[in-house]
Amino acid sequence: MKIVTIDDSLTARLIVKRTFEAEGHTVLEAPDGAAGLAVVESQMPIDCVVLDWNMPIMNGLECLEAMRKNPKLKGVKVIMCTTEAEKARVKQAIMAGANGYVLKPVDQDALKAQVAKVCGAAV
Amino acid sequence: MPGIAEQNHAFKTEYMTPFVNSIRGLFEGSLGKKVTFGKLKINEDGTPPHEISGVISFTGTVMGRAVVSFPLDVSVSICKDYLQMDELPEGVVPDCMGEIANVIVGRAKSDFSGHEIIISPPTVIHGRDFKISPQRGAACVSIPCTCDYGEFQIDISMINNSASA
Repeated sequence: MKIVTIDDSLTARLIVKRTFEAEGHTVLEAPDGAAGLAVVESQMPIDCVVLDWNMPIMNGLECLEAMRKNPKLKGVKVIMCTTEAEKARVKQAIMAGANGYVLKPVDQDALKAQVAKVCGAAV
Repeated sequence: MPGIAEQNHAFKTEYMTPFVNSIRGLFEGSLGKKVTFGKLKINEDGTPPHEISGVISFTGTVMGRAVVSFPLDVSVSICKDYLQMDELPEGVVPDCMGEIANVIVGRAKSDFSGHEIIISPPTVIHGRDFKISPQRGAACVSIPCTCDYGEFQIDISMINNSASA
């Protein structure tokens, strides 16, 4: 699988990279929503995006909304990975087109399970 | 010495509970380290006590900022466990402390029921030669924390902004 981690935290990106590269997957990364959008668009097909919410320049929700408006990217699976734990926030992300939601701090097994569920593939 | 509640500072001590719960959840849940909390105290000049500080501002129906401050050796130990790496890539420790602050404040935010709060991305500051001004109209309240890694501290300065929200 080809996965993109979009997060302003190097630490968070490292965790996602280590989680999936250890399983033989390719992980690309970007430090904000705008850069992430460019990576996804230029590296299609992408199987899954692991997307933070609170980021500078373009936040995760704006990035998700931009992807869903783009005919080329609207089918890409997106899992929000964030500290935003309120039900209203989860609902907001799902309404905007998120396919999954994982809370930080990241539990690597939970993230793998979520990606497997959303992508319908073993991770 | 008067307690925090008796001092002439606009601060609700119940604001600290979500942060205590969040720190406990992170350290005991994810890092597997028991953490104990000292007595609340006023940080009069806003200077963090340790070398690496993660600063997060929040706006909305409560406004203010949180500063989570760690000694360098404690930061390195936390980072190794958080990333599950024995050898850390160069430059990752400050970023990791920013992420730790982000997790603490972000998870605490969800405990402020009935409030709409937006948090900023974390800023990480090295050294102790700086002051962080408290939120206007509020004291800066510190909670000293101790865990197996060593000591650290969280400073909170916030006000209820519901009337203007």
